[in-house]
Amino acid sequence: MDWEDPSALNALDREGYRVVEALARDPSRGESGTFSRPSPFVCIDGSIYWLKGNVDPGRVQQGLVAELIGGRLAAIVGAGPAAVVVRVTPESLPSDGTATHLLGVVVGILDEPQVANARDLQATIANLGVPAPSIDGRSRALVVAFQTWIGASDSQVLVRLTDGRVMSIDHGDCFANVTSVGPPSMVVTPILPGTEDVGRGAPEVQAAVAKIEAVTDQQILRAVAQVPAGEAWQSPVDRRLAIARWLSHRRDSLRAVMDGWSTP
Amino acid sequence: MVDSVGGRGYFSLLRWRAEPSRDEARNVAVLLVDERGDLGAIKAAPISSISPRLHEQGLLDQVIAGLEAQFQEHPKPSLARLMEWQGSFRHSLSLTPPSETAIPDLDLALSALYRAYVAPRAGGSRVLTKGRLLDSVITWARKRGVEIRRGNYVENFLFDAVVGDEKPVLVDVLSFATTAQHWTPVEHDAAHFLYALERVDHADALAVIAPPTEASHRSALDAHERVGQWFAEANVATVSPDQVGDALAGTPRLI
Repeated sequence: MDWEDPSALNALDREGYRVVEALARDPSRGESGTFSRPSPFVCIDGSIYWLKGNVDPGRVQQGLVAELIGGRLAAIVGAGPAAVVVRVTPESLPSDGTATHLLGVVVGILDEPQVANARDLQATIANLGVPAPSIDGRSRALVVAFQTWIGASDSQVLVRLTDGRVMSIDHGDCFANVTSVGPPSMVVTPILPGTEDVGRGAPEVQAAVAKIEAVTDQQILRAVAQVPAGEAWQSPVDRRLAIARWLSHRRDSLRAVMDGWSTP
Repeated sequence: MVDSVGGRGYFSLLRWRAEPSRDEARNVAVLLVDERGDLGAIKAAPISSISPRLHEQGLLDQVIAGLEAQFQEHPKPSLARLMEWQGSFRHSLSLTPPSETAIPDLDLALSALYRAYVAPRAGGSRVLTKGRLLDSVITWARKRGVEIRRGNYVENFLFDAVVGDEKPVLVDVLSFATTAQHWTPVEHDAAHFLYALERVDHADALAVIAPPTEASHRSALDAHERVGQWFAEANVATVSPDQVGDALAGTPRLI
């Protein structure tokens, strides 16, 4: 792939992007308390997405495009919930004005049932009175490989309470610096005390790396293509091409880094 | 591209708590209205997916059928009506407070809300169980205006379905189209139906029976034949699912 030539990306962009229409804020849950104030909305495809919008253009991390690309890539390798483009109309917003920052074209992260953010996991299982889930090693290894690949900063993971599956979320802070061509630095998101070594076995790590290496340049190009324009998105062609080139390069140097983390 | 945006509406979820003493309710239907009652619709989960108990199925079916009937009228239930209902449901059934929603298209919005909040989770078996077959019989009958009640008592006997009032048709629904190996419960079901039939005056009878399939155990063939003989000896008409239409033709209709 010639990452200097924008013609392939332009051709994909010309196909337009698919947008899912928001219907209503999920009445059973409020917005998250994090900076980007994601809020759950049921959309026209019958799915619930956590919508992230334009809270403060000057502070919107790396723009909505980072969240969208990260979610698309996570879905390709099975490391986390998918991200889609969502259109939020005035009719779909609560009339009390609590979600007006979501009006317009925003990004939506597919809701995962029965999960807890690892940062809240101990409190969640204490509140629910359920035993701590046994963390799934294969998905944990995949998430470590994935977050290392995309250079997740302020990395976060969800843990499914029923089977301990680990999922990567919150990719809005990725791709801040895509000029560095050095090897990736390990990103290991802590989950629960005593689970630091879960997923570090060679079979889990090798399987995880193989999944990332199986992502083709064409898939990376598609992941950065067909993105809305606008300040909140921060998605000019040259930036997206740079992200794609950076991801392609890091994919090819991921194995050596992950081998260093793996335990025999 | 997406359709142009329509107006704003409101939705509530009908919730069913099988054990009123336990805080474990599940969503069984979504009701969608607009402020004035110009448009609205209801979509409910298949009754058999909500409760395995016939009597509960009858109660739920009665409530949902009653609500569906009101959405057939003009004007349709409005936001004010939805709020009235919300205050009136008690005990096992409850209605969530109306929530705002966009309605770019009534059918699409209803379908999306149904899939998000009500639809049974994917991965379930598609086997034609008795419950599913009964769902189909009830749906088929109502679509054609046949007056049918699910899980209904007649003279102290509970029947799968009852058509009409003055000289009702008592319906038994049996499915041998599963992979079960033991058929005693189904034989008990048929025997109870025949026992009850002898004690109910002025009623006709109909048995809707899904025959065994290639996937069925051999024991299903034996049980199917045995039950078929019982019904024949009792002069009870038996039909397969695809013959229900002809069998119920001429039965009492809703006005």
